[in-house]
Order: sequence, then structure tokens, then C-alpha cells
Amino acid sequence: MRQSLSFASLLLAAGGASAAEPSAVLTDAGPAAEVAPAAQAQLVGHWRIVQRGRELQVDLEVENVGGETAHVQVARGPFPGAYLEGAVLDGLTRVTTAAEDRAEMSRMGPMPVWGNVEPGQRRSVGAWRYTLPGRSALGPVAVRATVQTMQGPVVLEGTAVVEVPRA
Amino acid sequence: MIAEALITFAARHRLDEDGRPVAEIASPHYDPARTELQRCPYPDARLGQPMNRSALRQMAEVWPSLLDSVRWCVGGETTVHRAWRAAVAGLAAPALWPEAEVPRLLSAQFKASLGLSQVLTTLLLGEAGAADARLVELGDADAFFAQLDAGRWLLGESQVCAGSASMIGALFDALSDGAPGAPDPAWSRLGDGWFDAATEAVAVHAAHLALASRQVGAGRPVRPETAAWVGGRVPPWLRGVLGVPDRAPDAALRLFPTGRAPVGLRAYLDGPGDADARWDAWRASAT
Repeated sequence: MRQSLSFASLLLAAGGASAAEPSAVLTDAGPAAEVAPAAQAQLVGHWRIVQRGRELQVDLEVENVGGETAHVQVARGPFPGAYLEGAVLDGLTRVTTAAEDRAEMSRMGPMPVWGNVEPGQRRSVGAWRYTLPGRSALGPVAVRATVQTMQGPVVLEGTAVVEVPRA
Repeated sequence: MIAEALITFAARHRLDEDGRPVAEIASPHYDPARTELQRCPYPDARLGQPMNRSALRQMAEVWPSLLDSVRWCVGGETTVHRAWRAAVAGLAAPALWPEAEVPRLLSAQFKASLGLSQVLTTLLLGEAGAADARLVELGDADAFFAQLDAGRWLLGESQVCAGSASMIGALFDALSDGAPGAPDPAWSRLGDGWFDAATEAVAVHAAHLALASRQVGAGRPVRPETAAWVGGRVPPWLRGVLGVPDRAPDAALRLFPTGRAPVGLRAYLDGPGDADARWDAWRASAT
């Protein structure tokens, strides 16, 4: 096991991003808007989804397009403020059969650090990394994050087309 | 006292001999009027973001001594565990200092240790066996910095790490090299024998957070103090514990070399009762 240890592998497990150059920026899927219920703060998601070989990097910023301050759980250092869940995992695991092809997720849970997003301001709520399975032509992947706000959870969605190189 | 200092992040309330709060912006004594901020000039993820130049200036004044001090804290065994242990010692020292004004060296080492402790705690919790590895087995100073930069570890909530890449590299080299020599007089005044108590305190706190999180997730209540921790109001060095959903409490064993976990941590993990009962039992026995 010790031969496999490195800062890259260990801090990947912590959710850190890669230093490698991206092979392709697949999409900026945002904005996909959701409105925090019963509030004058409106959040829009700005996604950046980058593929570097078999690694998928997903970044999400929220923008407040409403007229009042939004209180959301924001990213702090390497720790996301939101859960990335559902469709990404469904999309990856749907084509995964062999154990070695399992999408090894470096997902981090939310770190409950509350931050203000003023009207017109953008803030990062998270960055996540995935190791893609050894399949090609994965196709469209839907991305969904649940962002926690003081007014309750807000779901933001985006999509990307991912081409996974063969192992 | 050592456990209390770390559990409560007591260093937040200490001032150093320059009149600066040891924990800078994390301290209730942080004074923007006495703090020079600048846009970060480093060509990495921090570029253009607010950076505490006053803290950097203070650190630069004691930099060679700080590196020697870090080497001494690591000692002659240069494993990842010893690097983490040195960072934990750096966190605890200001709170243990017996006089009002914490020496500049201990204040500066605290600042360096705060960032290191977050990285090293998260790194160790993530993989069994990492504590046994020599730090240099994981990569060199350049690889370490590259991961910190790419992984956003240098970005704080409102300020970025003020250390340059070369300073972070030198700090890494000090952690990698270690040195069994004589301690700085400031460390001598703090006495010895408390490093192990400090690491036990952080490890039991980590296990407690994980167990309490599971308990809350299962719908079983914890006391308000514990609930606040589970909700994220933890010292910075424990953020990585909550960063992974459903972290297993016994992941805290990974902070120590194989087979060398402290008795107090074992007792907590194997103890009877819920999270709060185990915590109370450990606190009654901890130094």
C-alpha cells in the first residue's frame, strides 16, 4: 500500500483539484436557476466541468440574482459547501459493471460554513473530482448539487457530455 | 489543560509579544486597523486575493528560528505522523504559554501549524498506513506545494495563506528532515511530555466528531456542545473529519503509526455508551 501513497492520491481523497492541464473543458452548463422559496434571494448555478483524461473536475459557483442577501453554505479551502449527488453518480455507475471500473468518488460532504452572497455576487460552493470508469463515450452526464441556504435547500442542475478514454 | 486548550481552540484568545492575536483573523482580538492587507502577488490560485502582510512580516522575522523549531518538534523520526504531531504541538504551544504575551516564535509557528494541521490531519485520516510512511515518500516540496495550490488548501474563507511557495517548500523540508537537537528556549519553558497528550486530544476529538455525526444521522440526540461541533463549529484542524460523510470513528487510529494509537483513543473507541458518555469518560481521564 505504501508504494501507492502520494500527496496526489491522499489529497485527491480529500477532494482537492488536479494540477494537470485539462484535456478539454466540456461545458459551462450554467446558469440553471432555482429560487430559494419564500425569499427575495435568487440563486443561479454556474458550473464548470473539466475532463482531464479519466478525471472529471466539477466546480460550482452560485450567483445571487435576487435583490437581497442570500445566506448559503460556501466552500472553504478544499471543502465544498454543497453535496454533489444523484445524477452524476447515476450516470457513471450506469455504465459500470466491473469492480475496477467503479467510479471512485472523491466526494466531500458539505462543510457547514455559512457565507453571504450579496446581490450580483458569485461565490464558490464546491469543487469535486471523479475518476471516470474505463469506458468510452459515456455520453451526457447530468450534474446536480444541493446547496444549503438559510431558507432551505436549493437544487442546481447542469449537464455535460463526457468522453471517457479506454483504460 | 492540554486537552482543554485544543478542544476549545484556546490559542484564539492569546496575544503575542508584538500585540498581535496569535490566531490572526480567527481570533476575536483581530484588529483590521492594525493589520496590513495586500492583494496576493503569488502566481498561483491565491493571486489577487486578500493576504495578511502583517502576519507574513512577523513570520519572516523569526523564519530561520521557526524552521529550526519545526525540525526539533519533528525530532529524529521523519514520518507523516511525526509531521502531524509537530503541527499539533505548534497549535497547542501558545495556549500553554504561562505568561500574557506569547513569544513571537511560538506565535509564528502556530500560524504555520494551523494550515499544516488541516492538510496533514485530512491526509492521514484518508488512508490507513499513511502515518507510517516517511513524509518524503509522498513526494517532495514541489509536489506538496502543487497539491496545496491545486486543491485550494491555500485559500481561506476571507484571506489566503501569506507564505510564498519557497517558504512553504522550506517548511516542508523542515518537516521532512527533522532534527533531534536542542529545543528553542521557548519550548524548554513549556516542559516536555505533553506532545503525546496533545495528539491524543486531537485524535479523540476527531473520533468523537465522527461518532457523534453518526449518532445525529441516526436520529439520536447529542448534547448542545456536541451538536455545535457536528454542525461545523470545530477547530480548523478538525474540518477534514466532517468533510467526508459518515466518517468512521476508528479512522482516528490512522493518525498514529500502526499499533501505536494512544490508550485514551482506544478507550474512547471501545468504550460503552453513546458519544457523549464516551467523551465524558475520556475527559475525566485526560490531562
